[in-house]
Amino acid sequence: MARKEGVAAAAEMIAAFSQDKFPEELKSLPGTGLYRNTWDALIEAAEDANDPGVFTAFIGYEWTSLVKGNNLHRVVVYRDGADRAKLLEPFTMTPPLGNPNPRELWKWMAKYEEKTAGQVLAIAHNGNMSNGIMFPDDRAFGKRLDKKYVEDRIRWEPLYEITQIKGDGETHPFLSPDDEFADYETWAVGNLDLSVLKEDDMLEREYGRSGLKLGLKLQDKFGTNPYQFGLIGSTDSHTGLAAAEEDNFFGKHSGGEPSAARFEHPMAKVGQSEYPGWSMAASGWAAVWAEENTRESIFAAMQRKETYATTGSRMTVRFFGGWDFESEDSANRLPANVGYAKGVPMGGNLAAQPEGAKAPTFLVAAMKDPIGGNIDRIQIVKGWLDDDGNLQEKVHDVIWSGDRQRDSRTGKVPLVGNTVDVANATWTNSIGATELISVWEDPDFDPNELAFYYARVIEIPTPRWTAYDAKHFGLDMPDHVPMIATERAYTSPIYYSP
Amino acid sequence: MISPLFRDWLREPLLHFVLIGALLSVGYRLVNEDEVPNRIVISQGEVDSLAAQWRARRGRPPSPSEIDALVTQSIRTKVLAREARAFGLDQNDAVVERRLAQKLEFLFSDLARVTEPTDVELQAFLDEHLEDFTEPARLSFRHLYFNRDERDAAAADASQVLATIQMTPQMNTDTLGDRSLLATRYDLVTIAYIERTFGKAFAGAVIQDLAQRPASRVASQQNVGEQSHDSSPTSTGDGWRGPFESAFGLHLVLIDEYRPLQIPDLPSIRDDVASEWRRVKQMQANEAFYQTLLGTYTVVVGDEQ
Repeated sequence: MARKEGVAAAAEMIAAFSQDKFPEELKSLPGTGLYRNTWDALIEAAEDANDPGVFTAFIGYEWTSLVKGNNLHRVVVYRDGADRAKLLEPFTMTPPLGNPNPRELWKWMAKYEEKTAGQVLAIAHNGNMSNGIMFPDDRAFGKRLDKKYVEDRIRWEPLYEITQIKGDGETHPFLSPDDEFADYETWAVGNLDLSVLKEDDMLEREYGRSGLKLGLKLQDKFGTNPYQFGLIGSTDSHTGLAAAEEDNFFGKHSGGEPSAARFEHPMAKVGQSEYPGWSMAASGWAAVWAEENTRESIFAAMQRKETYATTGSRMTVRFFGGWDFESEDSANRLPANVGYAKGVPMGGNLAAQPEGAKAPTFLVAAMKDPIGGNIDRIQIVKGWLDDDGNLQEKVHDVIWSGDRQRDSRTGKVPLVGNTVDVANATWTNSIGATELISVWEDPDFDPNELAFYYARVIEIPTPRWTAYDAKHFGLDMPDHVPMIATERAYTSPIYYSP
Repeated sequence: MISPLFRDWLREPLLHFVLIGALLSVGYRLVNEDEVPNRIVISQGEVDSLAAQWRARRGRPPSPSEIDALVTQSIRTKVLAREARAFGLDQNDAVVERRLAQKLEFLFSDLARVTEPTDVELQAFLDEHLEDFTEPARLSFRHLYFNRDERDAAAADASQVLATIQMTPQMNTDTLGDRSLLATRYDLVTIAYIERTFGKAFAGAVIQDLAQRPASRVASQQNVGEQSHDSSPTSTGDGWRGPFESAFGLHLVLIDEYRPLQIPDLPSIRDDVASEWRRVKQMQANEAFYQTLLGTYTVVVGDEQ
């Protein structure tokens, strides 16, 4: 069947490319007419769709660094229009006009900005397919990390993709054993082409929360934090569709479009290891706080990291950090006004600690997706480098729906419940809250310690795309297939430096 | 004196195409020694071109031995291609056919230059494609929010507040209702925007309520014929309405301005209309060209009778 062959051909291409065995004759490289025409066509598509104030389409490309199957992909986004973008062909994987090392990509980006006076930034894919090379803390590509690496990394990569179809990358239960929400859409089988399987010691250098922590250590060492990135979600879909809601999930590529069999078809399979179709996550979105819907405004917001990631819902989330937020501020009718007045928004750096201020305070609020599930709770995740040089993390429940009481023994807030009717793929918003807002002060603040804080918003359980598929196609899913999702949002962190 | 009919025929792109094709074909034969049987020629120009492509890929010029390899490869390709054509291997090959069809279409597109449109043509085109150029209807409104989570009877509370406002129209409404992350006022937003922000039911209810009010001079959403050609706002002059239900709770709504569907005048969007007109004309020309060619063929589908 033609479709099966198409999917098989794509898999073969990716496998060959991953191991640098792609046939020379079929490579389309910069400098050739085919490459130039393709780039021009892509640029034109973005220019055609871009409608300032109505719909923003960025020019960009995916740099698909694969080192023996370990995924270091970056998406390069241009602030610019066709006139600048056409002046330099994109960077590829093959020398001399390409290289799989991100340091070389950054050189290309610098060259682009110098040549065109334009601006670009790069966003790395979820690191869970990199097998531990996404956040190096000692060596990268055989070379010791140095001041230049840490400065270049954060200069060119202000954002990171923390969640996408190929799994959620915030944290892993192994890294965060005390976090009862850590095991969400976790993909931990191996690298992209399953040529190397996952080992525990890879995890620390491929998950977002852990990467943020490693950044603190490197900041302490080099004076600059290479991993002080803001967070976004995206799909990494190759379908040309933005369809990542649970009831509107069109998969990662044409082979994953809705069909009765798509939950069974592996996304990749090598020997006994596979990425099963049902494990795809209907995720995520990049949310940006910008003044207007234009390239310039949204790009500026991305550069200053005033962004948050969601796993497919459209919750509205606000997060501000300052030294004198008070509980009355959460009753303010214009919470964002008081947020900007008294503090910095998500992605920002806390101002220097003023005289008399005890600890950082945060104003956080989330409003449900108008067509989604209610909000269960808002948490603030703190990561810090303690006085002994150890990296620490703690998840704080800040505010939650209903009248649940914190368990005095465990300190945990009980789960919100579950209204999902799996068989019918429905739920009711009879639990959770429409909106939550609160002010929180760090109870364990130590002014000598580097720290970051980000907000995590969690929805009540709702049906997962597999439940919608089962209902629609009349399927009997095996027990191991998850049918319930708890959507979440992760804001860019706010940073503290002594 | 050339008759108008003949002159039109002279302008016919298909004629140009056929003439140029004939000229090219003759010229090609004269110029190209390749057509001599069993004689392959790699001109210096071709060698230079191969070297330039190599340089672009590798970042340095090819060495003499590398040039030899390129030329050898080129000769090999030409020999095999000639023999392949002799065997008729280029026939019934879907990839070859698609590529040839594409080349012809590109050639024709280049030849069939679309003329500049007149204002009359553009106005007719605009009238035919109104939906593509209209400005959607927009609404400016303020709202008061009543949070269902915090109130036992949000709808009743909202109605009570509405009654209070209606009794004292001058009162300051800023502190009424509940706070939320929603803005307190929205300026000239589209209906689609309201649907995305508050939910479809809310948007529908607010618009329907507006359309049904006898006091307003506003065109209802269904009545596309009543479009506005001037940009002055159409205010409603009515007060707070509701309660309307959204995904978040109950709302009272005060509409400050309803701007109906607008069709801009041709002068203000002439470039956009012209560019769209050209695109459509090009597509039609390409299709007409194809139909003319098709007309010269007999087509049989299924087994020949």
